[in-house]
Amino acid sequence: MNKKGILFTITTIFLLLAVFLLSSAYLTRNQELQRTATLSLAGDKLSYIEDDITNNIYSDLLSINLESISRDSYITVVFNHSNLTLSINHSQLIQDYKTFIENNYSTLNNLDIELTGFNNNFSLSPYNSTFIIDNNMIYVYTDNPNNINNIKLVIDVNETSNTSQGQPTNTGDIGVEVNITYGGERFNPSANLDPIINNNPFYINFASGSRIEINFGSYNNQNGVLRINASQLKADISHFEFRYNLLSEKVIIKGGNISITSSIENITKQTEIIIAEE
Amino acid sequence: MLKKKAIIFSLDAIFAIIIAGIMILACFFYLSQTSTNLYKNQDIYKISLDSLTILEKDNTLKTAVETSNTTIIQQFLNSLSEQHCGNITLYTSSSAAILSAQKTGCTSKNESTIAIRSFVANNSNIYYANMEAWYK
Repeated sequence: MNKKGILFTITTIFLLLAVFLLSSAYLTRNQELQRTATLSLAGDKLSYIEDDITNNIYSDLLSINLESISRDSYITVVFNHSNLTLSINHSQLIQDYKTFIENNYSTLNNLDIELTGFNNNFSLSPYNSTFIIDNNMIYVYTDNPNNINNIKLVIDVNETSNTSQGQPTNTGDIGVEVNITYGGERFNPSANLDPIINNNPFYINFASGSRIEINFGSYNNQNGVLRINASQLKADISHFEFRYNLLSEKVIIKGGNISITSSIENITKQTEIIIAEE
Repeated sequence: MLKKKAIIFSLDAIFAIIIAGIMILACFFYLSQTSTNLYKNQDIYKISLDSLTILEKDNTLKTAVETSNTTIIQQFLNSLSEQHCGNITLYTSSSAAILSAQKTGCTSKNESTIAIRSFVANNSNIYYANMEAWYK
């Protein structure tokens, strides 16, 4: 009888101990899962924030859209740009967005966000072409302009009658084709230009005093610079094509850099803003 | 002799009850520390992130600001599943509320989550949408 009692007591103690250990293990596991879930959510949130800040922002603020990147015997990159006019200060728009993101938006999301090298330009690698959109001007600087094979522009301007027009003479072997339409008229000259000299521009002067001008050549001590100047008018560039000689590296269009820090979870995400890639 | 046995028996029983009670209370204490609220909140937070992403990428937020009309946002909120409630408010970059919509039939909020999404509308002006979501 005594032995049975002792056995019963020991069994009961073991059963209670098992239940106790089981609940303790459940709690530990639950806490680990919560920690994992919290970190996973923090990771999701940072990716979401990065997408929110960078997705389409160059297109929205600089009004420039990438249409295509194609590779055959050349690399051809085609953009379009709407509303090239003096009344839009692209530099200010970018600065306002940067200020909003780094202040209000950061506070609202309880994060520390920093945009560096984020301004009204972006670069195209491996050709190191830098596109700058500044009010009524577009500049394209290319480190080695010999990589450019051809440039083609189709522009529509809100003008009707021209007073004079002109184009450069052939000086080299980089093809520049321009097609400007205005009030039902068309001006579509082309020339083969040398990137290291200051070539004459393609231009039209209009009766209202406005002017559209496209230059390619040496500018500010840099060779192979394309400049589009929509002076006192509004230009829509429906086709903005750069054809480059073939390089094996993948074409990547990059903006600035973004750094997002969550001090609560102690996580930082730093990345380049990739606008598009081949 | 019988009295002594009874006392020992009683003490043994009390002792056993106390130990068993302590063990059971400890188990209840551990189990009460676990929570599933976090997962529930994560669900509605993720629904908010997805909702705002959809509304931004299909230009609904932009259109709402440019037309001063929240009909499409309202329709989107009403199409959320039965147990989910949501409210979307659109603000200017300086945090002035301009438009708001809430799922029909949702009023009380217990625990809610908030998600933010920025967007550009009206000639490159900056806005943001704030979505508050909760369980019905």
